[in-house]
Amino acid sequence: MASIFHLIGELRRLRKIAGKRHPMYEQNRFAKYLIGFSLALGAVYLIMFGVLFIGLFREIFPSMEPYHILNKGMLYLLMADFLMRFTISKLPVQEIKPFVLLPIGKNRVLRSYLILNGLSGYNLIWMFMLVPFGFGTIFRYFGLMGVLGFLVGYWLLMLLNNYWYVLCRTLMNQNILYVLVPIVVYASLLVGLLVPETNYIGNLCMELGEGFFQWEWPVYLGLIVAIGGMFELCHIVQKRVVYKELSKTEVVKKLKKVAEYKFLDRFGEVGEYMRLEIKLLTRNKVPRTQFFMGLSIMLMFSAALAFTDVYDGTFMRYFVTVYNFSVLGVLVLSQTMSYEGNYLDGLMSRKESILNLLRAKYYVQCILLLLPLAIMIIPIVKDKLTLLSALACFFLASGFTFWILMQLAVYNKLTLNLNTKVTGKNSGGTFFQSMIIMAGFFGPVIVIRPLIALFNETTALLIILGIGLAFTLTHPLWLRNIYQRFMKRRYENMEGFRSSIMNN
Amino acid sequence: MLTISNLTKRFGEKVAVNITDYTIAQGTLLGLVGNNGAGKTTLFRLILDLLQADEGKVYMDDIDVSKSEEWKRHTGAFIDDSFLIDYLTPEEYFYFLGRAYGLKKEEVDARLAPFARFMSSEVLGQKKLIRDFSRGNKQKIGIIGAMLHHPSLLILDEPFNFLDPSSQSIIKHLLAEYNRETGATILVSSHNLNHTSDVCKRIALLENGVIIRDIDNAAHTAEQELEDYFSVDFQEETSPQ
Repeated sequence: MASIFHLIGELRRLRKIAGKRHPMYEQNRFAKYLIGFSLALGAVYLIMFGVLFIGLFREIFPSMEPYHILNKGMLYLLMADFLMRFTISKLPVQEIKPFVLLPIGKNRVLRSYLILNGLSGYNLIWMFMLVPFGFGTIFRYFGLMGVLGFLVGYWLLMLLNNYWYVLCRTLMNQNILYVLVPIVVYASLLVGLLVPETNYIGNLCMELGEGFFQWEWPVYLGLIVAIGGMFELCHIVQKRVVYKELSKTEVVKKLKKVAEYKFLDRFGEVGEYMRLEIKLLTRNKVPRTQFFMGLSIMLMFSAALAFTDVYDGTFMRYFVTVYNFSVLGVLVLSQTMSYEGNYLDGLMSRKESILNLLRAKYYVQCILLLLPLAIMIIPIVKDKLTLLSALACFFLASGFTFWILMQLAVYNKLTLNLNTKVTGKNSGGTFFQSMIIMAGFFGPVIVIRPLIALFNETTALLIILGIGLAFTLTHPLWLRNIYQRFMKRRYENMEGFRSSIMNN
Repeated sequence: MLTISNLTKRFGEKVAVNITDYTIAQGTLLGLVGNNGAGKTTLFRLILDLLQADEGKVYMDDIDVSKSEEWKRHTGAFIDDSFLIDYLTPEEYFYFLGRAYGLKKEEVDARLAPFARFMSSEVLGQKKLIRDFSRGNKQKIGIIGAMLHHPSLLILDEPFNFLDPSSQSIIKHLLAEYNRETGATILVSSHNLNHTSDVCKRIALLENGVIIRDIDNAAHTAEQELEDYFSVDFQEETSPQ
């Protein structure tokens, strides 16, 4: 029987081959260089933060060592890490189907996938910040071994966070209501951290961190036991989900009411495609989950903007506003054609259907923009945001952001399973998509800041509004351009879609 | 009229389709037979402009299918599940297709009526999404969807697959009748020699992408010729070397 190490090696090899033979490899390779560049930039930022925090903590808390402060704020770091995983890390999948009938223990395969997940380089990303910080603060008191203990301890913490994320994401994939689990956990921890009288959690974190660089074995043992427990919990949950899917115990539910959206009849063929788009978003697990996830984030950000002062700075205020208006569009439009890849041959055998589809997708997203506009009324009423900023961001999304996102219709050529299961093949987003998404999210904020610096805020917003309106009003032109470019690449794209259709 | 001219498609070293000249007159009911990998589906995809030919052209009347989309209005096809929008109910799917061809709801309902026996009360009114139907019923939905707008060219890849014996018999009857009544050209691929020779007036035998025989089956005499061609001498094949 193959050893677990052999199996992990084999799974790793298979994933590598899958990456190399990915239909979007060419774009991926180009995007990988750019992402590599962005990551290098991110690493430089993290190193910079590591160095800056030393001075900053010394200045603000002169009576304490900087590592005490970092350890006390450990939870913030873990929360940031957890949130970042949603944007970068793919949905945890167990490509177990090919192994089911092989003479390899099923548990062994499931555990091997989890170990592979733990060994991911992503869990080391924070080292860019922690290494300079450790050498700048811990080294002089505890030497090299102290720094090493500090780094090993934090790596173990990230590993625990990794499995915690896998657990939450697997559960959320089953039912979006599980989003409440991390929200409740982090909210409770934050309350514990922010209650000044007791501050049990802050002190506990500080003790834990100190245990790392002093190599206190109970601390490591406790952490390893926690990781082991979380690993097993992930294993149990994934096993249940995987076997539920494999045995297909789901009963086919009949629709109670078949929605017709008759009002769309008046828009002719585009209306028909809008109807199709609405059904795509409401009847399929992946887009539906994404929609509710986007909506929850939107509500959280708006509430934070309206009722707290955490986003009162110019950059964060605009980032949150831009994010709220873009998030639903980003989630859906970045997958343009990838969802349709499931039935593209059928669409392509009909005249100009893709042009109407693109128009319909755009109009549905524009209508959905009314949602963040309604939600943003709360911060507007609370005087945290001007109506002009909301309108500027509204049209920036319907114009610039949607324009940039819909370019992906030309380049996407990977079919995305609309109802991804845990046992499905790994079909998460590509590097190229990530790049466009980042441009959609950060591009506008990067533009807004210098504009505000150059002019006053109102003028800057009027310029943004003008840009947004220009892109919005010219949508028939750029949508046709996207359609024509798609048609030029149709054979290559259709081949990619066909070869990546998932086995449900 | 469908004209294939110097059509070549390669996948790496393998030549999937290599047809010098082949013409299918309007109103022909043509069966395409061949072993796995003979190039039947690839040929259909090339005709439908779903694949790029390495060389050569396909013309529908005088239209080069890769240059214009005009032919799409008069063509119906069902190759596989990738033609189905599986999160719609069958009714929604048919109405969606109807709208794409400018048909009103009532017209779609009227056009579905002749398929009532074929659907045998298992397709309509089920309030189920297409993805929740059996393979056989999905096949029926796909075939009906391809015929709904009364195309003058109908292409069906393995239409008898997944169907129960009664449905296979009904679809044979429906295809023959549709061809007779509308004068449409119908291209059908199948591994079932019996069904193909029952329903098709002309049969093309495809092997390694090349049409090696073009059989006139007006008198339904092709079955024996096809069976002779595909029969394998098991004695010879299995005898030890």
